[in-house]
Amino acid sequence: MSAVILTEELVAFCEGPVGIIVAACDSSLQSSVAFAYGCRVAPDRSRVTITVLASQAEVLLADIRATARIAVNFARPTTSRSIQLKGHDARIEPVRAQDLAQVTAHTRAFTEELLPLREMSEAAMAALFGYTQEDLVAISFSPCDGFSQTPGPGAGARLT
Amino acid sequence: MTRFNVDDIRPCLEGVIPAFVATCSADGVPNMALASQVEYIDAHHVALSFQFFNKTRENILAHPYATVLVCDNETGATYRLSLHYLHTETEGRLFQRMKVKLAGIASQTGMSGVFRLQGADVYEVLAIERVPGQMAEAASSPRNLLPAVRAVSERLSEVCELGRLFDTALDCLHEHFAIEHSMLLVLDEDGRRLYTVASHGYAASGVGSEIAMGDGVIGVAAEHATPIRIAYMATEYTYLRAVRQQAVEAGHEAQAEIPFPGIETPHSQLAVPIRCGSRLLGVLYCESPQPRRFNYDTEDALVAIAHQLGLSMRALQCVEVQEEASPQPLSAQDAAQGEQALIRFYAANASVFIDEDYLIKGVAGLIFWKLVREHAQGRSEFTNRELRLDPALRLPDIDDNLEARLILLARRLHERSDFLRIEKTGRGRFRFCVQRPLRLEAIAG
Repeated sequence: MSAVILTEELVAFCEGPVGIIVAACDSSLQSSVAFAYGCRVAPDRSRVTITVLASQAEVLLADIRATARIAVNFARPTTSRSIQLKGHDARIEPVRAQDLAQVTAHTRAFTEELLPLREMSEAAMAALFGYTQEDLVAISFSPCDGFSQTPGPGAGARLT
Repeated sequence: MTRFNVDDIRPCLEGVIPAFVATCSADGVPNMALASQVEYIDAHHVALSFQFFNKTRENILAHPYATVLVCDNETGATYRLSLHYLHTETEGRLFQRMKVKLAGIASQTGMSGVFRLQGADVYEVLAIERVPGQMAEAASSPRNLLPAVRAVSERLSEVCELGRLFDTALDCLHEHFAIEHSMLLVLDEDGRRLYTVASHGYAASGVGSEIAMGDGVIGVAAEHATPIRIAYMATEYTYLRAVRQQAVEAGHEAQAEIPFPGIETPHSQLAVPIRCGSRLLGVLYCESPQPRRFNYDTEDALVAIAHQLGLSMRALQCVEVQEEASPQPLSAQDAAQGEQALIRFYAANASVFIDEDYLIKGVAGLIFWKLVREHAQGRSEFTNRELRLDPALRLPDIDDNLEARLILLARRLHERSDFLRIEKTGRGRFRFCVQRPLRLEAIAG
């Protein structure tokens, strides 16, 4: 499958105030799932790096090591816009300085996005988005497929 | 490691934060999607809303396993559920509960008209694991509702009269659950409509107002005999709108309607069927202008209370029937004084007007018409038994609801007239008091 090159607009969306959820599965087709705390797209837009917490993503990380397959959903709560990117060359990488900066910026921006919805208190969001730097792990992949998942008639359409 | 079951994580299933569903295709490609709603079924089963045919659906049909993340919006605690897909329901109680709840979620997220429940996907919960992380203290610590249920249960068990049972139930909801707005509706004789016999917390009581089966959360709860709870206002389940629409469709008959008392913006609504055995007797309904006012625990508590109400309603009706006395002889009446009032009776729908004001219709209208005509013959003491035996009242042979109808009529008279009233004089008997001269006029239907 040919690589999906993200548009600049999609890059801005994925790096913006969105919820990021990651899925993988093992060879027996058992799926795993974890929240991600940030996303960074390479300057040439060919590779996406997301950051998860090792303590929360033990099975997911094992699955990615075993299969290299990944699916990531990006969803913006205030607009319900949602996309999914898939990859089959995912690998686990050490966290770089720019990932740390991205995680800090992302959790702040996403908290600000959620606050006006009044769904969660600030304390609950602080708990949900709380992390320690040592726990962060990066996963990078080249998107090989992408779909719109915004609810409605266009849901499931391939990103072109 | 703590083992959780679904009972432990119900705050995550209120539909505030969507659930995140990971599945895997038959050829090993993972997929990530959001589910608007995860519905509690029991400690070991949940249902996910199926709205669109998508990759998740394709995957679970091919390989019936999913891993789902849910989050408690109060504490930020997150749980991972391992699920085994069993089947999909496209009708019935679970489906109806989810359909109404989804309408509320859709309205909250600007997705009205987009979200449409196609099915309730039922899953067995194989395991629940708490995702490591911090957990905030909930702003409102979950209250143990058992003492409140116990207190209400004790109060209800002490009541010996049906009308008082209705009022006590609603008073108790206010006192022990801080529920400001509530109503009790009883199913009519032919099982097509519910009429309000008591209410709490409204400017006008709305006693006598009617809701059709299937209309709004009350009508859906009655039609499917299942509790219906909504946490966000959805216009398609808002009563004032539904009732106004009915009034428009009814045209000239709209004047013979008692306005439904509901609040203007009911963000939270909870309707619980009142049953006795398999028979539906009515609906207990609460609403609040505040979103997410009622949770799974409130629903549990009210379901337990509604079951006791159903048994008590049935028991009190049986007592009344058994203890009814034989018809009373003619009795002396108080002299009616003052200006003559015109009582008009429209036979077409048995509606009654006092001067120009609508009073009541249907069975209660027929009862009233019988009372005023017999009163003109010099009677004021009546028994439930003679009403029950009167073929003109068209009461069914069994389960006639007569007591509830009399309560409704007595309450309407109390609200609408200062010279007509029904006084209970004993079990199964009452006095019809008339303090102004009446002129009766029947309009053939």
